[in-house]
Amino acid sequence: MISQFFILSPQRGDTLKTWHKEHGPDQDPPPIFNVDGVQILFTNIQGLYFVCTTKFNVSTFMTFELLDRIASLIRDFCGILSEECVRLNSSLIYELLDEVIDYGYPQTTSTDQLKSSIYEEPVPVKKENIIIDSIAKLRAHGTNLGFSSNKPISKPTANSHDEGRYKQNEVFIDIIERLVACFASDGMTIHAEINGSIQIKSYLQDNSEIRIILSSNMTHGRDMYYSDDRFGIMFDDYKFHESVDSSEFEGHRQMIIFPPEGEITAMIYRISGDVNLPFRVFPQILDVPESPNKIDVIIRIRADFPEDKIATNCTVIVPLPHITQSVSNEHLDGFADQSARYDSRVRKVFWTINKLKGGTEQSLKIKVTGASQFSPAAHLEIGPINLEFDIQNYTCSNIQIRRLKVLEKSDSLPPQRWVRYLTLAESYVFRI
Amino acid sequence: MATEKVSFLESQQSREIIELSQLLQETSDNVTTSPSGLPLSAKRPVIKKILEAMAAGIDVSSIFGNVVKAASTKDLVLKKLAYIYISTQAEQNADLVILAINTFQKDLHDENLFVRGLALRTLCSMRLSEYVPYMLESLNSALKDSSAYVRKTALISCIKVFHLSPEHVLDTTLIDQLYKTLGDRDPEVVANCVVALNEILHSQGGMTVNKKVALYLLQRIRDFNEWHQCLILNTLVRYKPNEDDEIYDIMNLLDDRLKHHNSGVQLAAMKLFIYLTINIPEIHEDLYKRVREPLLTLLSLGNPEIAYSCLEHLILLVKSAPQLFQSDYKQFYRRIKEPSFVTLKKLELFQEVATDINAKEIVDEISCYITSDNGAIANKSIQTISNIAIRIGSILTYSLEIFIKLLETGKDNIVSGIITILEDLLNESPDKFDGLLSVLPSIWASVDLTSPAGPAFLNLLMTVGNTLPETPYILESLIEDIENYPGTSFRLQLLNSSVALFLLRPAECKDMLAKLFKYTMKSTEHLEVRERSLFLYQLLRFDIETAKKIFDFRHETTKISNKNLWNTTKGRPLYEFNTLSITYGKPSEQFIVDTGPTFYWQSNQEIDSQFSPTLEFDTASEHNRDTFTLSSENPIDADANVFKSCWSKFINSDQLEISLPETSMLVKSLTLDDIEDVFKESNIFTMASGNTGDVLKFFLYSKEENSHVLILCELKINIHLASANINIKTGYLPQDEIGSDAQETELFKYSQHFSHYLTTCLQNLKNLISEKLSYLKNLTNNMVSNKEYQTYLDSERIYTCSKCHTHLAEHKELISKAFQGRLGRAYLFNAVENVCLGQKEDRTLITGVHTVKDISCIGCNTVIGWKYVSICLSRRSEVQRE
Repeated sequence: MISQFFILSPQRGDTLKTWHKEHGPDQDPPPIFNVDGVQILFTNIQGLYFVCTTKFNVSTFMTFELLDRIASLIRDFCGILSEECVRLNSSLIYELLDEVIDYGYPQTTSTDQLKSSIYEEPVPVKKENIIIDSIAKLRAHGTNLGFSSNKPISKPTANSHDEGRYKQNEVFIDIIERLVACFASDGMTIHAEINGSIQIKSYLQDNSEIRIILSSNMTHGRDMYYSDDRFGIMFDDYKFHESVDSSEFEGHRQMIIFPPEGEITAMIYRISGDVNLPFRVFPQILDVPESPNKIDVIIRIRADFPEDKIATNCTVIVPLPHITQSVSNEHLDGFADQSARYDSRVRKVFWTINKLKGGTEQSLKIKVTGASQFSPAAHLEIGPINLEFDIQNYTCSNIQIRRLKVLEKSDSLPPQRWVRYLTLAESYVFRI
Repeated sequence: MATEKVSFLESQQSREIIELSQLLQETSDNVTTSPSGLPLSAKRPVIKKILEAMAAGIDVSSIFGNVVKAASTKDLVLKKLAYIYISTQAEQNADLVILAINTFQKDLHDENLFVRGLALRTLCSMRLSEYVPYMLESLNSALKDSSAYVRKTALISCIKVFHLSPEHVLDTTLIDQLYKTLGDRDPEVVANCVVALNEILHSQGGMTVNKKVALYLLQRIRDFNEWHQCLILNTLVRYKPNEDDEIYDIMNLLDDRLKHHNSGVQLAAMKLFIYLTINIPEIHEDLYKRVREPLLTLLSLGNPEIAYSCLEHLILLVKSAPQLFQSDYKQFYRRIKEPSFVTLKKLELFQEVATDINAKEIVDEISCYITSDNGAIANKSIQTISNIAIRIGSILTYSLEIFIKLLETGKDNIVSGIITILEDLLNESPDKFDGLLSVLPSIWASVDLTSPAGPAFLNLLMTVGNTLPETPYILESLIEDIENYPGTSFRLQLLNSSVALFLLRPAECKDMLAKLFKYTMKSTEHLEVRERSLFLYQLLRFDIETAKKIFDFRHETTKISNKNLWNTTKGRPLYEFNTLSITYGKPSEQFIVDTGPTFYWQSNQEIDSQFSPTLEFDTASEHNRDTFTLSSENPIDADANVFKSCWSKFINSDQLEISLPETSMLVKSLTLDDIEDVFKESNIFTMASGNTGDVLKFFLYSKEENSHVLILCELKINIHLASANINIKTGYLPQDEIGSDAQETELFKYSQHFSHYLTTCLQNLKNLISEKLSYLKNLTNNMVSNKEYQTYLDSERIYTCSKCHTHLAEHKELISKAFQGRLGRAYLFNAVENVCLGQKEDRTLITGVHTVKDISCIGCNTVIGWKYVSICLSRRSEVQRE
């Protein structure tokens, strides 16, 4: 099966040399390639390359899932995943790999099972070296979790002394929705899709049962669309983690979860079609009559979500024609916490609004001066305009946890339950 | 100088290693107890350093002996680390390994199962054939070990020993033993056994999968963990059921695997389905529909690498079933953050998915990528549009319009890319190039003439631009500059174009053509160019009419039919689904180097007789339980007399007591009717019920549907003791009674089933109670707060409640720390979470009278501050800083 396994760190100068030799340094290597009969498969997880090689005709899906799982196991056992953490905890990771893979065959990756056979204690990474911007982590593509809690899972053997005053008995639940949307130049929605996931990070002591009831009015499949009420949420597809008993999901929107310690993605779902999109951008390109080598681009952004929600880190990215020479920006309204800068290297304007309240509007005028005359074709090069944002405490699908119960076996303190809703832009594109 | 440096470094390293070795020896083996209660040896840091050195590529083989000594320790981490060292360094120290054998032997009989497994794993990982006898001996005993962990390790170790010395393994009865192990209780052991057999019998096509084995594995499929499910599903692909019914049964059984959270399992199941239905075309179609949604979900929600593999499989499926994804094309639109390899694959997919209906929208989408910064994507996008346009005629004109518009941007890579493919497009429809005319002269400066776009541009110039006034000038300046364009194909095309133009407009081109001939005939570096030049020259000189015929493009009908190329890939077999073959688009033989040894093993007995699954697993009994259904009809119509007479008549009875933690105390909150309803839902009827203080008593009855067995039950729930007392009697109603012995023996079974059933009913009761309770709780909670859980904040510094650690505010929301409250210092925040508001009131504060509301933490209801209502939205809280 798998012949070798590596963790490489591109920041330290590890690169996939053989690939770049053949294809030049600019081209990203695809995740699978072949060097002299050796298959190389790798994934990039939080800036580290997890690489494995094999001589067999393996299943790509299984291999990538395995690499991903190893990364999340390291995260579970060490608390975080970073180059420094891997370096400090090398012996713990050796121990883990020894149990997870034997002679290239995956054995077990369940944290519960592994906990009993792992003896090494995690070495904590110094606080100041951790980048705690977990939202930044989330924004990176992929399903990596970005929980604020970076504690490693507890060991059955560990005494309570290292947990200080209060016992670690809590569970974090994230409902994260990533938005994919594409708008035509006339403002029509071409495509909109929500990719949602319910992620759980559990520090519960004895695998307690968690019951989650989602806000109802959900139906599965598009066929049901015309059925009951139009406020219902239509899933295109969803699937659950193995530890979830979903038998009552159809009827009562109830999930019964027995989460193992550590992170799991309890449910993922996909909703497309009629999605309430939180933002609209109205771009406008104006030729300046008196000087043909100038054009003005006016961007108006409107926040269409409830007023009590605030979108943070909104960034509108506007590509400009390749003959652009200089750019000046003018904020048309509002004093809001915003800035716009032009990056001449990539020829894009980045307009950042740190906080944008629901129901409000902002506009920006970009004055572009070209090296030569702008032809009408130059308009084609402006765009597609891309928008990035995140909205906390808001889900586009209106999915909400109506009830969250943790059934405790012991009489210990009731566990802390933490919930967070988050909507992120995965790909929010406006064509010109 | 350099060599000295290296040797200095080397000596430095070896000195360090010797120091480490000494340190290892000197460090006392005093095992202290770590804070967590595990043994902790002082040698641990030393051996970590040695491993670090090993990972850095420093030769550490010289200290083998010392590490072996360190391996016999109580500190398990130290032992594991030492074993890692031993297994990697054993080959360099073959003669010293005998020292370690002793430690292995001891550890193989350790009481800790992990130590036994570890020792076995390490022993068999050493690639030293002289120790095979030791390995075989320990394998034999380990395969019979009481611990499943050791057994599963032993099975993988079998493969290691096999590769080390195939003869040894094939000589022994090991393989027979492996087939027997298939019936093991533990699923991980069974899975590893399948793995081991597959690899050892690789040259014979792997393990024999007959009907018995296949059904056995299928029945247990849910017991295996996700990775083993992948491996086993892959093995089952070799099983060929004889009857269609069997195929349907297998597919029904595995249907939910298509929704498994691990995409490896999903794809393995799909592959198995494809194999099963390969000869039943009508189901095949249906199957494609079933895999559609799961694949689309994987594409949207998987990480980029999964999405990449997924796209490859989609391309394959679309080729076999072109209509399948016709309406899903929007799912394949590019996402702004995806890595370029995903976008490139998506473009390939678009090419396959496009049909008359969706082509325009797809072309619209792809045209947005052309202006992208990434050259590879831009190029491939142009290519893809052109391929789609060639295949789907209706979109051709539209694509050309887009290309011509894009040409006007004058961006180098776009222009070159478009010029290159325009040639093919114009071949398809020679009458559609009018729009090109005006653009052509203006873009030639942006064409990278040294690239393939160069010849293409020249070709366009002579086919499209032969009437343009600028054309001769363009050619002329190129001829002037010919030394800068050394490419053979460019020069050949330049010759062709110039001659062609000369034939049409001789007056303008005479001079420059002469210049061109002169230059090309002189140059000796490109023989091909020289020959072409000579040939054309002669042709023009002697037979100008023929030349005219040859170069008359308007009648040219060289349709390069890309359509033919198209179909060749269509029949790509699905046999290598879910493997690397799909990625490379070729069968595995072309990229897998099979170096495995070929050995044949002949069993003395038939495999069937060896593999006798000990049917300890539950499937058999579970099967019976399925047929246990209670009739929904009321059997005795609540006739108390019948009940009484039966109760006294039935002899077969079963008594048991179960404990009901956390349930019974709460049963009080339910009425008897509530409980009876729960039973009734489960087809259990209540004859009578009563409440005597701490004990709830029910008389229940029910009838099994198939066998007409009447089941009577007395249920006593003791609230005080948190237990339930169940007394079950079974028998037949007079009219159903046959009186055979067979029936009598059945009765006991039914009473057991019923007790099971009742227990689950009681569990349901528990749910009812908790639901009811939480409803009540909610009602009361609503007074205080309607939140059942707390919103959590996610930032570097947060402020929490000093009592219950509920998150309250983020550091960035802090406005001022210089506040004074009733109880001491206070902070002013912009926004606070997890609080509930009190009554509005006017209060005199230091700064005057304000309308405020008290706020309290929803976790512990402590008042933590107040909120100004009269001034805007500032809230303020006294909290502990964390």
